[in-house]
Amino acid sequence: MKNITISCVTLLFICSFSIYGQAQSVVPEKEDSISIQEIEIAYGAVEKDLLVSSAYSITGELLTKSGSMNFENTLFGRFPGLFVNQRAGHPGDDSPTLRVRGALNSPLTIVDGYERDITYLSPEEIESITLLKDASAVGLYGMKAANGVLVIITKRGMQQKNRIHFTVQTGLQSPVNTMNVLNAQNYMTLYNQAAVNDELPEKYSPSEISAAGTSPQYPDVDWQGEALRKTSGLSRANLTVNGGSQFIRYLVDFGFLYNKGIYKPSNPVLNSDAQMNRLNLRSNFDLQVTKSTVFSMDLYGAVDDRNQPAQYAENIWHAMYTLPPNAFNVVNPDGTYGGTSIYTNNPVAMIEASGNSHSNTRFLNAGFHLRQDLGVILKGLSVSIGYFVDNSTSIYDGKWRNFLMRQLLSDGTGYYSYGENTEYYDWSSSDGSRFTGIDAELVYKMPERNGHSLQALARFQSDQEWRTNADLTPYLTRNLGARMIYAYKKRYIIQLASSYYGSEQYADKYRYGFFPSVAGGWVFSNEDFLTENTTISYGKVKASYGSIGRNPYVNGRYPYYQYYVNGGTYQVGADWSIIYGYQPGMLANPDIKWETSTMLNAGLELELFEQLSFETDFFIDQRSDVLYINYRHPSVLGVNLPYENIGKISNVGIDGRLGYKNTGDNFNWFSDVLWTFSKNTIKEMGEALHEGELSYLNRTGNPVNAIYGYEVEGYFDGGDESAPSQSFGPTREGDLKYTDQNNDHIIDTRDMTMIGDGQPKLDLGVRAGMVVKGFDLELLLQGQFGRDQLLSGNPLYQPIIYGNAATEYALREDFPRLTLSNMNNYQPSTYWVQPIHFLKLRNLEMGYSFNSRLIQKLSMESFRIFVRGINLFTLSNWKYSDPEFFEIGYMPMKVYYLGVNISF
Amino acid sequence: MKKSRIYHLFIPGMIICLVLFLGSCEFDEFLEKPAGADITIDTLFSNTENAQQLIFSLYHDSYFGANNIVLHWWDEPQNWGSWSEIGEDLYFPEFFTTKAYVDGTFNPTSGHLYPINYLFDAVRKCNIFIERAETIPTQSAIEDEYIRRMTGEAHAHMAYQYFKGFRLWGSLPWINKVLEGGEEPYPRIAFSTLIDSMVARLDLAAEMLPEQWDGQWTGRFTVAAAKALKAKILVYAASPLYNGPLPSYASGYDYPEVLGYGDDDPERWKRAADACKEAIDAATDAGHEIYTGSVPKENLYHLAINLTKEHIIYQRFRPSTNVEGGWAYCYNMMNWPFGIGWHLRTDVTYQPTIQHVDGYQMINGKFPIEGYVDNDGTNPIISSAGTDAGYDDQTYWKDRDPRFYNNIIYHGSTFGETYNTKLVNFDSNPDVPNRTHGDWPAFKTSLMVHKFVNEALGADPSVTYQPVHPIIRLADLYLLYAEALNGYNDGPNGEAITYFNLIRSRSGMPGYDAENYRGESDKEKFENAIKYERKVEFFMEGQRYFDLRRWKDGDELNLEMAGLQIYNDVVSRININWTNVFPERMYFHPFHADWVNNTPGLYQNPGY
Repeated sequence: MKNITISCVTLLFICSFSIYGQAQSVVPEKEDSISIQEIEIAYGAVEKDLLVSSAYSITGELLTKSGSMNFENTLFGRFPGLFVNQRAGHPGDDSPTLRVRGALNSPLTIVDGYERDITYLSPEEIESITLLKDASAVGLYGMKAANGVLVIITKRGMQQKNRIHFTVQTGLQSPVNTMNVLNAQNYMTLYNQAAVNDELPEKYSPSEISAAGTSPQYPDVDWQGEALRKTSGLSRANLTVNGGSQFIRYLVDFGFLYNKGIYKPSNPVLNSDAQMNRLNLRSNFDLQVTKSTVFSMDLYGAVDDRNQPAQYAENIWHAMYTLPPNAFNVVNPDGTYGGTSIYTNNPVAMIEASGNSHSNTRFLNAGFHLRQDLGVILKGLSVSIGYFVDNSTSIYDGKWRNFLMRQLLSDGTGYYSYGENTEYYDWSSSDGSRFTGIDAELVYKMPERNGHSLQALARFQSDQEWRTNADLTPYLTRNLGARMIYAYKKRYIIQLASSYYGSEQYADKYRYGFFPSVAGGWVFSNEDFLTENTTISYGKVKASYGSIGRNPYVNGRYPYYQYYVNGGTYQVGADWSIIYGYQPGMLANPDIKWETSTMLNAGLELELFEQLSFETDFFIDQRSDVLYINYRHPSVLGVNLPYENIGKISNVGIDGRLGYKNTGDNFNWFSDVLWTFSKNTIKEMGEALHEGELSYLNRTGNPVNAIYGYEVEGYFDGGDESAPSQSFGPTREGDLKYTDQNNDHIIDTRDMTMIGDGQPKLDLGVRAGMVVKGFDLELLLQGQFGRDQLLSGNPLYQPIIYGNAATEYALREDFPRLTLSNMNNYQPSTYWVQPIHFLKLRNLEMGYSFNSRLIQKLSMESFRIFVRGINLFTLSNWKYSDPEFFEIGYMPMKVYYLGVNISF
Repeated sequence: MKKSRIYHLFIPGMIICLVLFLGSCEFDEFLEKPAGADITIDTLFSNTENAQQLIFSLYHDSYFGANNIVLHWWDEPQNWGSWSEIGEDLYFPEFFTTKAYVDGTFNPTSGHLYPINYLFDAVRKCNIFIERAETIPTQSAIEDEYIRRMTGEAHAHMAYQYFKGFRLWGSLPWINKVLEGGEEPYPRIAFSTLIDSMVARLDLAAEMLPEQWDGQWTGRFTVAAAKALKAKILVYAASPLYNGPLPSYASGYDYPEVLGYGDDDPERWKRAADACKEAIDAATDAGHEIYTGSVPKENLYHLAINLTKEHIIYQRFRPSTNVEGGWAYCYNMMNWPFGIGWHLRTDVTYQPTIQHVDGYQMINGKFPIEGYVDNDGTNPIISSAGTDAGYDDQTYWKDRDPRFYNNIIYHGSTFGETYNTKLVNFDSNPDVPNRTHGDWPAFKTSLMVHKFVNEALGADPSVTYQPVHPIIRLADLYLLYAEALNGYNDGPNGEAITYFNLIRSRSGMPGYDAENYRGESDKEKFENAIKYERKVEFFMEGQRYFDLRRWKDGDELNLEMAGLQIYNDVVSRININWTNVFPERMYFHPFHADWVNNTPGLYQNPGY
């Protein structure tokens, strides 16, 4: 198989030269001098006409408008086909989830040709960013690309005089949404109501309720107000120097950012605030060694420093949201922290008295390339070799301690004490990673002759990745890839791409996979009958088909190999000495291999009047050999079951873009709408299938992110003794009544069925802007529609059960019977499934560029000031919190910036 | 044209060279797994030192644990609840995983079914060892003997796994080789065959195991342990649930042979009694004895917190202090009167009900409570013997079987005397001084568990505790022996009463007096005496649930729980609004639907 595939790749390449031969024999040489918009694809760029795979590219310039602290947070609403969800807000730990076309995992990210983390990039250093979506676009990435690929090219120097761009911006941030939780009076009233509903006496007397907030004995604490500031600051600065001569071209980018957290209390002896700052430096050098030889050296270094309280952010925010407002005082009259035996999580104390946790990460990424133009042998031919080494080292340290909390006695005369103040304990740890690889590339771009044009690429890459100190052996991959694009008169285009890709984690017979793809397109606007047409200024139809892989490390290393692993300890003997066990590890799966996606893509691109552009792609992704644990093995086997290639998932959808651009003399405006729609179905997942009556329990056939629970029929009204008994606790009037799916007159886990789908159906991006004289305005809206959110289990919507809860939710008319502990109403059910739709103003920027005469006197090229807002407002059917963020943790922020761009 | 021809040759030639170059990089070797210090089955069996580690892993909590107390709650089987909290008449406010077991809603898709994979994981390890033991190279006769002993351990562990399994489900597939997948189905074997198979393994183990291990190895299976387990299995097998006709609810079930013998045969009691006697003799020979190291009324408490010669098979937990994060303390400290010692925690894990307390005899051997009006725990019927002995609800704790004090913490009891001068005070009125009530709303019965709660821990967080929980102790064998003799002889003979009284006198209780027990016949009276004895003696040892089921006394597990409330020192009984429900089908637990769907021959039990 291996040899056959190598031969295939070779043939593909040789075949391209035969075409060249034919073309050459007929066609006289002619230079094509017209400059044409080029689109970056995998390892190279192609003219727009020749792009027949599904890829979408934007410039880094565009992303500077989103100027977020985390590069990934600039990607909202920018690409048709990319779902971005903000699920975190902690400084330095605020990456969103990225999902290409509804794939289940993050895309592969490639920076300057190598697999790298993109979180640390700044928009200012980016030349272009391209999303590769279909099999033919990602075809060169073999086993790593089935979830799509983001390809990022950083800026390089140009042969020009020194140019300096400087941007500085500073701003304020505050939470996107604050949670409105019950105040003491509401909380106590609801508590009493819940107690009465449970046939228990009321806990709080009317006088206690009315006294709330009046004295330390009757506290009414706004925990968020105590623990969070209204706003906090953040700043970024970036300096780019770009220039070059005939012999050397360089780009140096220097960046700094600072992000201060939102916590209000501060530790008097050490820094315990959540904050991050980072310094980064990039220098991309191209050295013209000979007329035909370029040596490139790209260095990137960064120091990333983060700090936070010793307590986890989740716990701090959990305390802020769910601590009853009347639980205790933040600080007692005697100066100690408040706390009780039940609630020992005083958020103020957790922030200012528990210590801190600090990390310092240093990156050094280096890439070296030598490219030799072989034009003397054959015009258009070049080879290159490259080597890269990426290193990171992290040092973690911190201090933590326990603290004393006291509870005021109900008569106000004394205290109960909990815990004690201890000294700070120090801890530290470190880890590091290293990623290296070599690559070799052969590129041939045949000059267009008589309408024939051809581009061919063959490359080899070998990577080694040491992920952490703990992994003793590196993760290895090898990739041999080739691509050929042939076009006739830029009307008919064919692209072949393939990858022969190997991974160390499979047994010999599955070590290499071959992933071919084919794509074709017809640019009908280049046909003679349309070239003069002014209505249709551009038009193309395209389609692609191919397979691509994914090699997740689901079973640990070398899963084809039967290991024996640690089997726990036990104490024996008179001195209770510890003995260590060994036992069989997970059952070896000698047949494990990659998952395969077979993708079909069909698209249309249309541009009218050179102003209105439209493109759309329809896609089907049939993922087979999906790795699931095969629960169909008999349970008497007596061993941990491995993942096996038994699943099938299909995913279909449409993405696209509609844009309008008006260029006038004084007034330019544009608008872009992007959309992605997708839906997946599990065809096969190795579950132990139920047959007959209970087959609704099966998950096969449902979406991957399906939500399971009970269907709510209504509420108990007191008179229905004949209703099926519900197995979660005694039911009373006002409790939720569930549907008895299997008619056995008892509601239990066998009545759970699919009640929602957690996957968003539609992601929408709308970008619009205008330029009038020196004034510019741009806005970006992003929305998501049709995602179901399950709220059961979320403390914020379960008043009293976990403590405090969201005010408006707890006071809803249709809220089921309140209770102190009965979990009947808090089972996953249709009552708790909330369809979520939202539209967010992701950013809004207004700028003014000063009159050129004035600034010329200051020897500036341009001077612009701007104000920018991020996440400014949200429209949603869900009004109780940020519709994107249901976790309890550090919230995403909205940000207001003021900044200047200066160029020299 | 000539020039282009050269190119034609040159270019493909270069490509071929490139491919040859890449091919010569030896693709496969680059991606080959590097040789390392991996442990494989061959390294494991390359010497006794390594091979013993496979046996060691069988003693890990996941497999060896009796699951009687939730101690190491991160170790998984314990996550599935503890048999103690299910079996005893305890209120357990944080039901988590045990809820479905006690409220009658258990079904084959319940999320927290006790996982069967632990059983078969252990069986697989036993089979691997037994199959490979002979391949271990040895240097000396001592090593040969060690391998023989370990093979005995593997047989004993295998029987122990099936013992834990058949108590839940009835018979199971008997896996006596290492499965690779793809074998013909292994159906559940007949109950009688399973019993005989376990007994055969234990007989084999008894021949191979040592009478005692050297000091460094104590705690591993011995001859006495194998015989004790065999005795226990045979008493179970002779008990009414299995030794009798099929339960009526299971009539029409397709596989009656997996549930029991199907008929009643007193010879099974004989077989059990013989095995008990043999085990008692072996244990005595090996130096096991009934613990009497403290004063009689405190013997049981000290037995619970120490490793003694009475322990034959037992589970040890990691010795630790609270300071070093010893989680073994966790549940100890959650059965702790608030504010005594350094530990301040209000939540209470196990709360005995008043019905449990009512079950204790007076110190004179009489039962003070006869029953309840309408089965209502707040409305007791006080027996004449109780009245004679001065029983009153306000002083319910007075003059009871000493094991009551060993098992229960109650309002007015002493606790942590070496460092604490207060009495336990569960008064619910917050204005009462010196309360040890933490005002936790889920503390409902005003009673706590004392057994296994090491009072010394409260003195200082750095006190080290070595928790140990009995799986079979000598007292168990005595009572099993007395029960088997009674079953075989249709009444207690002298020997049965002698062994029975040894257990009572150890705790300072008077000997057997048939008058104190209900029953139509001598046999039934003695049966009831055994049932009382096992209930109070093995409280919290994870036996009760299985005892009640083998006696077909599942009705006892239907209980509307009641507790106490103390206000200004006045005791009143209260209903705590929790009812345990035991449907008959729970005599045999369900297999999870997934296991049944996957495993041909793993027939679902009746009623599910």
